[in-house]
Amino acid sequence: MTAMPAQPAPDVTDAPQPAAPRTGARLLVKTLEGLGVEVIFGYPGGAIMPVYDALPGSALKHILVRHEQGAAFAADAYGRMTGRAGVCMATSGPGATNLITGIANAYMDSVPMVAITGQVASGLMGTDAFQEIDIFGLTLPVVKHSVILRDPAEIPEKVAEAFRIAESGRPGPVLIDLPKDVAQAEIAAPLDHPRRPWPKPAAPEAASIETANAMIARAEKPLLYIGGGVSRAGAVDTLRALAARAAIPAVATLQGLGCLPTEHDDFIGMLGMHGLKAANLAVQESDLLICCGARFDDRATGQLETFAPNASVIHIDGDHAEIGKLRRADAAITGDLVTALERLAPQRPSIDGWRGHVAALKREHALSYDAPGRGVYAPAFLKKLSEAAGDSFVAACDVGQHQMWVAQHCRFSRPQAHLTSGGLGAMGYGLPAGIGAQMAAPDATVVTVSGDGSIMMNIQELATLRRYRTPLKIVLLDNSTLGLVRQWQELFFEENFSEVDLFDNPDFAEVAEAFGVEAFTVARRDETDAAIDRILNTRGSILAHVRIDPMENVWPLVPPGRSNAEMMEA
Amino acid sequence: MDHMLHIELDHAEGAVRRVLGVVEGRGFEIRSISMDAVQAEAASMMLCVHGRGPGRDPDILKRQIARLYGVRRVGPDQLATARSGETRT
Ligand SMILES: Cc1ncc(C[n+]2csc(CCOP(=O)(O)OP(=O)(O)O)c2C)c(N)n1
Ligand SMILES: [Mg+2]
Repeated sequence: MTAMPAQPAPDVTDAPQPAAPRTGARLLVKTLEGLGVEVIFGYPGGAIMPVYDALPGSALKHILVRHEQGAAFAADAYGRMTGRAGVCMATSGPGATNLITGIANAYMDSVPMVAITGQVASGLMGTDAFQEIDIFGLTLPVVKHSVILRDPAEIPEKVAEAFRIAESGRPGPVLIDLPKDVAQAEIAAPLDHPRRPWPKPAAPEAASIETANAMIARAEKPLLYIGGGVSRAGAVDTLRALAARAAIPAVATLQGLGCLPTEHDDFIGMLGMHGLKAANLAVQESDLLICCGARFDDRATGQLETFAPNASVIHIDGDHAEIGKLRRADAAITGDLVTALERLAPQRPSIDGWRGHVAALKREHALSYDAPGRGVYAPAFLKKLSEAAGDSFVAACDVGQHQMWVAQHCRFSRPQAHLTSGGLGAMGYGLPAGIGAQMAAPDATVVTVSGDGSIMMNIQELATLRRYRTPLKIVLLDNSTLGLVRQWQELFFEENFSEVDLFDNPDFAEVAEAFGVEAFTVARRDETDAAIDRILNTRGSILAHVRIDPMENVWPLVPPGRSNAEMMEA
Repeated sequence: MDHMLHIELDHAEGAVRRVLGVVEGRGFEIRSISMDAVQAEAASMMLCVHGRGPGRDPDILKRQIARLYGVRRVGPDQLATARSGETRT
């Protein structure tokens, strides 16, 4: 899976530049500028002060967040939107540890990111110095790579390498730890760092593609199983061409939504725990799963042993290590996803009967929006909002019931329209991610969809929103409860409701206003259209505090550990 | 079952921790370990690993190690079998 940079940055490799002595910190800033970095999300402190000293006057726009976790989530969303590494920065010790959740989030969802941390001076490392934390060690399991910059002379090369690693192949976060003495050292190093486009990944083997094509030609019930790897590899257009050419029905994972537009004829919907019943049934019936950049995650497969029991598997992934990890592949295609998808299914298989059957499943199990009552029905609200916003719509979700409603009910025109913490499922993602996304795409209609639990995890970023006048919209679905946990307690823990009641939430509209963000409250269903109008027609940021029924659940649902064939419905 | 792994890697800061972290993190116990610095920048590690519980596939572990940046080669090969005295994959 290769990130295709949105726009190539200016080439900076030409002439060797005069090597005037400068500090390591200034060298870092110059290198970042040369690499085409535009925005850094960060928060200062002792060990990183030399870098902050070098920032004023640089071409880098620094966004001062109010918690380092916000910086990492914002950088994550920036990376998802642009395909280029989002950059976050923090000081040593607590600043660095506060980044970790965001780094882990980028790791789990294969998002390009570069995280820069200050470190105590080299000589103090290993002595339990003030604010010394082994952030290199702490983050090892959640980074694609990491480096401690020991020598100021190697800054240009190592930093450029960090970006290359973060953005190429299967993208991921790279940590750069910078000891303070290295940042302060004076050095006359030339600036020399090869920049994008990064080398293309290896072409897939022709033989494996032939095998796959023979399987597709034979299959009677083939199905495309689309994951986040498709957009990470810049293969969305190629996938769309494949879908047009081959007309094979398709399902997507949470991260794969938007690769085919929601309304695409052959697109059934999301599979998995909170997927569409039609999607899960089609998977269970299919005789050939063509897995494109997905990893058989348990939220998608349900009980693995019973997943797609009749299907052979073609597994296409940029990452060789994913093949056979959870499900045996009958044919494996690794390497460049774009080339693989270009060469797949040159002829349209004759599967009209199967397509008709899938279309009937889709009609039979279509979601309905005629919920009783006069309160706001969140699924309908979200569906309308996304449709009204059109192709420029981008949802930045938090985690909980509202997140699943977004995935199920919103219309996505492209994968970047759906920013969601999938692998990690980190509450607190939505608000900073919305800020990062809006900064990456100033013209997009970015809407953070949050819950009353989740928003409190990074509520301080309302101050960031205000400071930069970011025109982010926020829809806060307030059910006065940790809804998804409450739902599980209701269904799987005998209604033993334990520590999920948020009856004493603050008045969120007042909170927003206290931060200087316009806000209003919606409580009735007949206010839906007016509320959506107001959200979309406000030029600046606005928070819509939407009160919903605390007892509402997400349907349908595959009970944990069960087969996807056994979906519970309302 | 025990599996031998022979890993050649850049002798960079953190490289050993990174490899051992993947082995442990992916559900394998390290039964024995030895390491030589073959040259100044390259090192060679020999590990005997054992899956914790069923379903731990050493072949996938090898690919998970191989994708680490700075790992040059993973395998059982001549060297690995010669040192361990038997062929086990
Ligand atoms: C950081 C973090 N802590 C805990 C959880 C577990 N968790 C998942 S959903 C959820 C409830 C979320 O509540 P809210 O944001 O109000 O969303 P709702 O489900 O009510 O829509 C919790 C606690 C998590 N995913 N992330
Ligand atoms: Mg809630």
